[in-house]
Amino acid sequence: MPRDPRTLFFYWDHAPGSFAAARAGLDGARAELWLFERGDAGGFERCRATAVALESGSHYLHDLRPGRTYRAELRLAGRSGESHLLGPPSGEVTLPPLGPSSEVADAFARFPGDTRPPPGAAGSPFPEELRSELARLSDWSRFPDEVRGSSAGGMGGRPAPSSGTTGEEGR
Amino acid sequence: MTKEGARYLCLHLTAHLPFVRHAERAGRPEEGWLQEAVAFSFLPLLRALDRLADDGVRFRLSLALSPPLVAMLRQDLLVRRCARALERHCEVADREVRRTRRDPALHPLAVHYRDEARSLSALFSERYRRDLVGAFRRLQDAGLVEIATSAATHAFLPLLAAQPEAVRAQVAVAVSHYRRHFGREPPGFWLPECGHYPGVGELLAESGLRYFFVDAHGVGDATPRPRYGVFAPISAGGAAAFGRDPESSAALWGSDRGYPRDPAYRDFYRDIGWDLEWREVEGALRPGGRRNLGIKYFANGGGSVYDPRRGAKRAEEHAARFLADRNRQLAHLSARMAGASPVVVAPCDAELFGHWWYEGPRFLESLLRGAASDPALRLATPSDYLAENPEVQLATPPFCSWGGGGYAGAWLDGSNDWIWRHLHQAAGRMAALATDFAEPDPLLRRALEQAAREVLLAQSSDWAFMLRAGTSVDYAIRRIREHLLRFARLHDQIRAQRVDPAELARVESADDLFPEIDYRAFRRRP
Repeated sequence: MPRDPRTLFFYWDHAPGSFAAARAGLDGARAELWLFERGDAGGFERCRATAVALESGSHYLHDLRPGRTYRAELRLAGRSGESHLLGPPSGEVTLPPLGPSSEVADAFARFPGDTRPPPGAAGSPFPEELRSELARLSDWSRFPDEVRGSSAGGMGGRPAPSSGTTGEEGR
Repeated sequence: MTKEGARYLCLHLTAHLPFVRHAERAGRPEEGWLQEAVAFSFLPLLRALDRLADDGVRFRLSLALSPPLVAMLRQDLLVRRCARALERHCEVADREVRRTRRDPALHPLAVHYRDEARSLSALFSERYRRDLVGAFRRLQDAGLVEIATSAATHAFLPLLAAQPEAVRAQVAVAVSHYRRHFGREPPGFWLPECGHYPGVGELLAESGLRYFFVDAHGVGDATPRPRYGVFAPISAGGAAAFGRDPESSAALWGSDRGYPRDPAYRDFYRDIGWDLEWREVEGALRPGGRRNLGIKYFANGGGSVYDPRRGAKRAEEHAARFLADRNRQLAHLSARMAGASPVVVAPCDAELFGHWWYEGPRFLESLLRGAASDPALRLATPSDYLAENPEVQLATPPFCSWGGGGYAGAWLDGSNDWIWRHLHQAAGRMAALATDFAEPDPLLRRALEQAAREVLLAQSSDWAFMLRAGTSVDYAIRRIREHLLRFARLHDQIRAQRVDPAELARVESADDLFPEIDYRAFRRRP
């Protein structure tokens, strides 16, 4: 699961039988989380192998590349370098991009109904400096000291409910 | 027809509380969330909006009411308990009038609170006849308010994206619930916590929902890069995404410089439920212990006694300033959008108004009154804007939210990540049930419907939020476990085709929302 543009969260469950099967024939097996990144040509290449504690059941991978697509495999690796897959590979997950897209292709559709631009709907040229200024005006970075708000931490947050205390203690 | 150059201001309130109903015992502190919201936000807001309506002010405001909130506001038991809570509030206010009778600084304020408490209680019982959903609906039917819906149990959808059946069910159940309570199709959708992921727009459009909201970076980081920033919606999968304007949001919500921090306003945190000696408030606080009682004597920023008249005056000044700032902002934008119509979108939690920001309803009333007669801008809902500006740029917002650093951090960290495997597994098993049981007998159907309710209730974003915030942690864990365990038992009984009618009736009675639910919302698509 993506958490933010640089972090993926993985969790796993496996039956004891699948662990035993994956361990068979391996000398001193240890668990590794292999991460694969989709390259520009479309194929996946391994970009990271991280030792994990199987018992934890989950792991975060940090410092990944925003906007890239990943998949992972949980493996048991032996001392000789051989490894066996433990359970099925994960699905593909794409991290959100960080910052404005480099793709500029203005296409307009008539709303509601159109989900693709009708022919010739590209719109007239639009000056880049205006696009940049409107993007700047749309950006929270102009308000660096302000909490963004939201029920997840701002002024509008959910009221802190009673702790259920019945004594005289205050906050 | 496109009205080039028109300038729009879209104020949007969103109201949500998790479904909390404990029929077995009155006085659970968690039921106080609804009672506080009713007393200190929804009633003052409705009073302000109805005053405008009574005065013939033609304002436009959009509002999302989450399905669990609507369900609770329509539950006899909870409504009766809200009425009782309002009566208790009157009693507390009466006691404060007596307690402060020799205190010339606090006594006038105590009298103010007593009058306010009586006014709110009368509003609830007499003007609104305990039906706040009906009151909001009347404002919608009068063409003043546009009510959108939200996910069935306010699930944080980006973290359910791997289970599209779960997201579809969150949307479909919300839509049918909305039809039941508002007698029409919902025009738009509040993505809980503005949680978006690529593909959710298509699911909303499938259900006829025309718009939703994202935080500013949801538009700023969209692909391809939008031409107008957050000042025009983008079309994502057939639904329009409206981006939150940081400038207006900072004015309303900013933690340091936002209006609610003004020293003329009431300090939310100085409540007698915490400030007074235990013996002085014990009667009001039992059962449940220390909590806010809604009577607060001090202004922001120090020890000065709060002055409601000064607060109200400042709210009107802030409304005038906000309107002037939006006019300046829109004029600036209009000159840079090559004939396109700018819209400034300011979404807020409804509970900001009244509950957190005591003077907020006065601010909103004054703002709407001023904006409705301002020739330089148009108050508009998203539907109004789209009707007049149907040419929308195609672009897809990224995975994003309006909290937790802008992504999923609030709902996925070391405090709450353990829940997701269980939620995903339950959603997958529910999808399998819904797919496998196409023609159930009546008892099995009831069990399938209740299983769907339990999965949805477990998915509420509130539980993960509470785990991370460290508030009501035990309660959040209990709720997640209860719903998942109830689902697991129903699942096994359905699979075995041996449903226990008595147990089913007990669970139906405990979690009795969405009577119209269709479990087939979870069915897998080919």
